[in-house]
Amino acid sequence: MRLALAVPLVLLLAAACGGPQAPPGEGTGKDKVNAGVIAIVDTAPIHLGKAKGFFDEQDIDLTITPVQGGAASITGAVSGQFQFAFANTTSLLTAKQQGLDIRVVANGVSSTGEPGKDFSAVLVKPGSPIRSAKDLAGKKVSVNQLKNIGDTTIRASVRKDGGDPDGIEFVELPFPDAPAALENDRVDAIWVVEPFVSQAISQGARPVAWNFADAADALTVAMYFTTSRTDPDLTKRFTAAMRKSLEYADTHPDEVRQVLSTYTKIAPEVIEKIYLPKWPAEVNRASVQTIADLALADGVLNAEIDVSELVP
Amino acid sequence: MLEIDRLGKTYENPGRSVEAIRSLTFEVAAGELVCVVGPSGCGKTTLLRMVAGLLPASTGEVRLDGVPVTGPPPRMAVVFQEYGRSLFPWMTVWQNVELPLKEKKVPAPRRRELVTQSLESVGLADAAQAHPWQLSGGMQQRVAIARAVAYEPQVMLMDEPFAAVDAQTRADLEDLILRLWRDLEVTTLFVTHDIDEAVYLGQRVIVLSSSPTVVTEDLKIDLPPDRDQLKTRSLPRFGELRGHVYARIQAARG
Amino acid sequence: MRVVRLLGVPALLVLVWWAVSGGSFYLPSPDRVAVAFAETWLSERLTGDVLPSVGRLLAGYALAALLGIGLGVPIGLSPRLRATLEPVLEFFRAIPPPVLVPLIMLLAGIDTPMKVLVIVSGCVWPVLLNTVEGVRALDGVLADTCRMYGVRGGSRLRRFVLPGAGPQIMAGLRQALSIGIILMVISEMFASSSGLGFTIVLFQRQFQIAEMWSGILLLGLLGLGLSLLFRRLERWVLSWYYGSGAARA
Repeated sequence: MRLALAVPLVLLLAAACGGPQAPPGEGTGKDKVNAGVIAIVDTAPIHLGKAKGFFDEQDIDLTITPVQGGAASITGAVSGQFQFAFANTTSLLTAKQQGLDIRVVANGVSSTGEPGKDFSAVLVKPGSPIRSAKDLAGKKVSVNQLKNIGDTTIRASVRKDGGDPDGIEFVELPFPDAPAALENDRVDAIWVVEPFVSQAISQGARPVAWNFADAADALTVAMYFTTSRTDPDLTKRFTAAMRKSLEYADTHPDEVRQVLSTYTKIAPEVIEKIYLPKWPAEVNRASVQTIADLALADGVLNAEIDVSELVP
Repeated sequence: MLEIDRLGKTYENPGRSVEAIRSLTFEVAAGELVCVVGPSGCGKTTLLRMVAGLLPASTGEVRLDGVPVTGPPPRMAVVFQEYGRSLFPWMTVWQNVELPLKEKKVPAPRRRELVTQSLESVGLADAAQAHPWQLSGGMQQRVAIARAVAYEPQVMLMDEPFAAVDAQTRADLEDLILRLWRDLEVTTLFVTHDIDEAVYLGQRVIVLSSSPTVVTEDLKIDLPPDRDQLKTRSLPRFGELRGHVYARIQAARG
Repeated sequence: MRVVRLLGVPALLVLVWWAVSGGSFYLPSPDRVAVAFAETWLSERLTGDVLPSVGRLLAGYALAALLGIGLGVPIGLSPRLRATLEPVLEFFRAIPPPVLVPLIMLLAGIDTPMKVLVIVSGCVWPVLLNTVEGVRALDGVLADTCRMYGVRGGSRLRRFVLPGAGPQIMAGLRQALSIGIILMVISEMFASSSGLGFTIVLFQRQFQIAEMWSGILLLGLLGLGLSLLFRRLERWVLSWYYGSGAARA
């Protein structure tokens, strides 16, 4: 779970041993690559791509290392443990603003843009007086991480619906614990992503906002990134393999559902029902800028940021 | 006043039982000072604890004014051998002496009187605000004695109280006990391993055998009542009496 | 001379820190941390985050002390209770509180009661077990003295049991204090939105490293301050113990 205080110490040691990170590869066969990826629905493409051999085609011997969250993958990349990693847009913007040397190489996952059919939603109990996003004003809403993409996009949903987001009390709860908290009335509403959206709905919860769809059109929720230490040729090849994986995943939903059972613990009957996200090969730069602007307005970022520094 | 009637103690252990004390019978009349001596390990302390009601007897009983003793009786005070451990280190000398009186619900002015008097009588009037650990061993034992005296008990029990002090201090404390006993006329049972001390202090000396213990002799001490460390101890009769007790103890040790 | 001795080692550490910090993103130089310290904590964060956290710590600690001593005394006085409960107590004390947090969340929700309960769940053990031990080891001669002079019940508790077990109880309270600070931070790593521990974790996640270090520094100072306060209290409560030389200097 949260090794947050141990991490700085570990990082201190790891940073001390950081060095040039291009793994030895010229002419000796495939490059060994370690990718830090959260084991969630969003990252199905990289798992599917590996299974289908797209990375082998690019002479990349890919190891996927599960991480707990965006902060862990960013620190892992910066310290040299991962050559490539997966993190959400807000985490990347925040890290970039603090001066960390990261660059996006490929899209990660995008919202479907369709309210009612997205992989992220804000839900309430069946008898709740909250009917739509604007009713969330002044209520207690759980997100998996404060000052991150969840609360930013929820505020956008509320504003879009004509409500005032300033009085919302956001509380931090990991996704798996959120449905139980809603059941026990610890919070008024929860924000979760699949498979917890379908899980909550099957327990009777009612979605009142589809925050990723509301915040921007075709929102780029997360991306794959690297540091400037990585060998440019390797980066090009990884990007190519990633794009192929994304396109394949976007067009083969059944195979996506199959690969989910290999790296997540979601029950098979749930896998059948969840809403899958979209996986366009291109990053939607306008949506990233939107998130940056929203984050600045919410105080998550403390200055304007040039998105092109992050997304070349 | 104090009747010890066929008192016995057997320790039951899994497998074997040990008869420490077989049968002890003697009396202490009101106002008497009786000493108890015996060979090492004969159960002197066990006897005292049974008389105090701290230890239940296996056979026989102890009676105080005709009433059987089943637990520590209210008008009985004990001065233990381990003076250091019998005083409360977090209290001052004054508070230590006052505590039993508070428990007895003695009103404050009377308490003050009793404590002041008893501290004076043991020569510790100046030490009232000190803590026990700031005092010497002899002084600590005097605090314990003052505490017992202030309590105005019917019976005073003393369990080898001077065994752990040096000879000089012991002499002073023995005379202190005599003086207090004479002034207060309190019934006293004094247990000791020191034969000279027993003969010097007592009006009677009870000589015990070794375990399983019985009373071998109830000896009347016919020395002049005004005891003095130098004079009394150099009397020929003193030598005879102590020699007699010594011989009895040697014989009892087999 | 005394000032040199007090500040010597910390000053040396700061110098080493200055020398070592340079390139690394994760180890900012002392002056940057000092600036971050002033900017971050000498602000409304003091009342909004730090004071509530410290308040919860003190509440949890006080509750743990009451529980630990309140249960420890009767258990220590009764050999039968001790024999029956000792294995059960050892079992529960061995469970690390962070593991219990999801359970505590189910029972107590996610707000202040949960955080206080987390702190109590860890702090109570050293107090309880040390109290049991202290009461068990009371001097037999003093106990006999109490019996002889009719010191019973509440009087016995106030004048004999509690002062007698005092040194051991204080040792338990001292241990509980350091555990309490750790648990204060841990309790804020779950379902929190404010607090000293939470803010430090937030800075770490937002890569605001200088601010994070300033928070860690503040935690250290808090611990130091509390421990000094405790020592003062201990010296006062146990003045007889230190005076008698029974305590090791």
